[in-house]
Amino acid sequence: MGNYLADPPIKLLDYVLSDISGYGGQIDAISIAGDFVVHGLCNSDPNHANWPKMKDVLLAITASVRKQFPGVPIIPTMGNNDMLNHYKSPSEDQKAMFYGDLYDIWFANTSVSGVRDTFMQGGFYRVDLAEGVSVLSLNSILLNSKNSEKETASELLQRKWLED
Amino acid sequence: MHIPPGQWWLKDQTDYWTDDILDAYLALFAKYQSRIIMLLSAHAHPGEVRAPVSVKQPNLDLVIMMTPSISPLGLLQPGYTIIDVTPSTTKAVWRFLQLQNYILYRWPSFQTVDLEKDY
Repeated sequence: MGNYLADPPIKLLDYVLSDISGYGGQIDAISIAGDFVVHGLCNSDPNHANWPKMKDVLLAITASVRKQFPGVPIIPTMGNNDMLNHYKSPSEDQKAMFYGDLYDIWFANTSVSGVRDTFMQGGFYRVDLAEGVSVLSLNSILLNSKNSEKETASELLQRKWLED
Repeated sequence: MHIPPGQWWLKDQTDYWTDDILDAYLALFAKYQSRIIMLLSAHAHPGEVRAPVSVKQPNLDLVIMMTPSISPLGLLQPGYTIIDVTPSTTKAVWRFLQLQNYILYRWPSFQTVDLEKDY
């Protein structure tokens, strides 16, 4: 079931998800604010990314949430531990692969639609939940001070999209 | 977003965002704050609610909700946030699994923290 010195096993995640479903009230959407992947799996060395293993974790967690909440929109964002390299944006030649893989894991064949264009530009998107209530999911990895892979073009696109 | 604007202290003071980007986004947040319910983020693991003060944006009046992590790493209780939004109100509670009770007794106890009542 886990312990206080480690990230949670899937059993603990499922246990918490079962509490959410039993807490009461209609659940309109589930926001997952990043760091799906266990600490230490994404690599600091750009030549040795653990992306295939990380995708397995992302898939498993997303599947657990979908199983507990079928049909409920999931609004995920990437954390510093979900990147190809810790705290860093993908390089220009990695962008299509990285954002494409995340799109397929998080959004393909789901009720969340219309997010692909901006997500592929830099991992940001908008979901309208109800009349007058929208979630604007920002990619904060583009903004953080430890990101040595400055993805300036994507950040400027995100900023302009946010203002528009 | 995952990493919010602001700072944290571990061994020393760390700014989460770079200065130029922070200035640009705070200006946007301040400009449109009447249309923003809250900034929802995470990153630090314990639940935190922050009300940032900015010298450059003195009228900034926003709440940053840093949701607790499900991960107990760092001696934390696994937690999550339920946010209830209506056209006129926003309520939020945190729920924390008392993990030690489950490990020791298989007792499924959760503690609810009502952010409006308790803080």
